[in-house]
Amino acid sequence: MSFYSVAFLGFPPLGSLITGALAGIIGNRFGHHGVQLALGLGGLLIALMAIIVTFAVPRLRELE
Amino acid sequence: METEAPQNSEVADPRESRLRSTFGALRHRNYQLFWFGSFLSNIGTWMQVVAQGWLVRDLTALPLLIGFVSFAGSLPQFAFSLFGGVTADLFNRRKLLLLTQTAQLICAGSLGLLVLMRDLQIGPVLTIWHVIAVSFASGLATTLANPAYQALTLDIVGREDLPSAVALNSAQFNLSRIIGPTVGGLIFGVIGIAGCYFFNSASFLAVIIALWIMKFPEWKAPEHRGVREVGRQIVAGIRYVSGRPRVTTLLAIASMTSIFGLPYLTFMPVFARDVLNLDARGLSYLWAGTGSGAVISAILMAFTLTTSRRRGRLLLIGTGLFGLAVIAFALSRSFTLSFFCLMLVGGGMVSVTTTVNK
Repeated sequence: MSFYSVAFLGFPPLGSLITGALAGIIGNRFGHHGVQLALGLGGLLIALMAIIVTFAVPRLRELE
Repeated sequence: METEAPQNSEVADPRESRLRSTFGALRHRNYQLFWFGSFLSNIGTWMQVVAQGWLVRDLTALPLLIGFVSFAGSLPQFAFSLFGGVTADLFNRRKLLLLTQTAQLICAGSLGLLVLMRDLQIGPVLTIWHVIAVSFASGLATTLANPAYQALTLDIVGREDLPSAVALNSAQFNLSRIIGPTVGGLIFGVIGIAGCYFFNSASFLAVIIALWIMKFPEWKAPEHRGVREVGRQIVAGIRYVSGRPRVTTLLAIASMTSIFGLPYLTFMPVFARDVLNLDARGLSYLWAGTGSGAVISAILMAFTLTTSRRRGRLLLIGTGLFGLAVIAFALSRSFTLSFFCLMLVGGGMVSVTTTVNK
C-alpha cells in the first residue's frame, strides 16, 4: 500500500517540477510552446513504455 | 451497523450477480456514509483546485515556479508516503482521518482568509510563498490521510467487496472531478477565489461528520508500535516488492505514468489561459472533460474487473491510450479537441490506477 501511494501520490509533484523545468528550457528556445512540448514528450515516453512492456514482459500481458 | 451480505448462492441471474459484485460495497452502511462524505469533500477539493490554479497563474507566469508550487505542495507525499502507509497500519485509522481532515479544513480556511484579505486590500500581501507554505501543510495531512482512507475502506467492506469499493471510490473521486470544477467555475465569478477556498474548508466537515456517525468495533493497538516497527515494515515492504518482478513492473508503470503524465493536472491553467485562451469557466470545463472520461472509465472498469481475466492487457492498453491522449492534448490548440483528449486522459488514468490497485 505504501509503495502504491508513493507511485501515484508521491511522484506526480516530482513530474511537475521536471516538466516545469523542461518547459522553461524549451520555452527559452521556442517561445511559449515550452509547456506543450514538455508535456507532449512525457506522453511520448509513456506510450513507448507501454509498447516496450507489452513485448518485453509477456507475463504481465497475460496477467489475469 | 453493517448489514449482512447476502450469500452468492442466492443469486441466480448472472446480470444481477454482476450488478451486485459491482455495487456490492454499498451494502455496508459504514461504506455508504464514508462514500458520501468523501464525495462532498472531494467536490470542495476540486472547486479549490480550479481556484488555486487560477490564483497561482495570477501570481506567477514561470512554468518552473508553477511546477514548484505543485512540487512543494505535494513534497510531503513524495517524502513521507512510505511512512503514511505504515502509520495507517499502526494507528487508529478513524482518529487519524479525523485529525487530518480537521487539519485540511484549517489549511483551506487559512488560505481563503489570506486571499480575502488580498481582495479587500488589508493585512499582509499575498505571495506565491504563502500558497506554497499552506499547500505544504495540507499535503502533509493528505499524505497521512490517503493510506488511512484506503486501509479503512478494506476494514469497512472486507476483502470480498474490496474490488467493488476500489472502483466505487474511483467513480466517486472522478464524479467529484466533474461536479467540483464545473460548480467552481460557474460560481467562481460570484464567490471569487476566496469563496472557493471557504467552500472547500466547509466540505471537510462532511467526512468528519461521517466518521463520527460510523460505528466501529473497538480499535486495538498493534503490540509492536514505534520507530523500529515502522522501519521494519518499510524494509519488509522493499523486500516483498524487490522479490516479485511482476509487482516491480506494475509499480514502474504506475511511477512512469505519474511522473510524465500527471503533470497535465498542474499545467491545466497554463493550457487554458495561454494556449486555448480560456477564462476560469473554460478551465472548469476542461476539468469536467477529464472527470467525465474518468467516470465512464471507472464504471466500465468496475464491470470489467469483476469478470474479466485479461487484467494485464487492460492495463497496457490503458497506459498506451493515456500516453497518446496526453500527447494529443499537449499539442492541441482547439478547445473541442482538448476536451475530448482530456476525456481519454481521464479514462486512461483510471484504468491504470484501478488495474494496478486490484
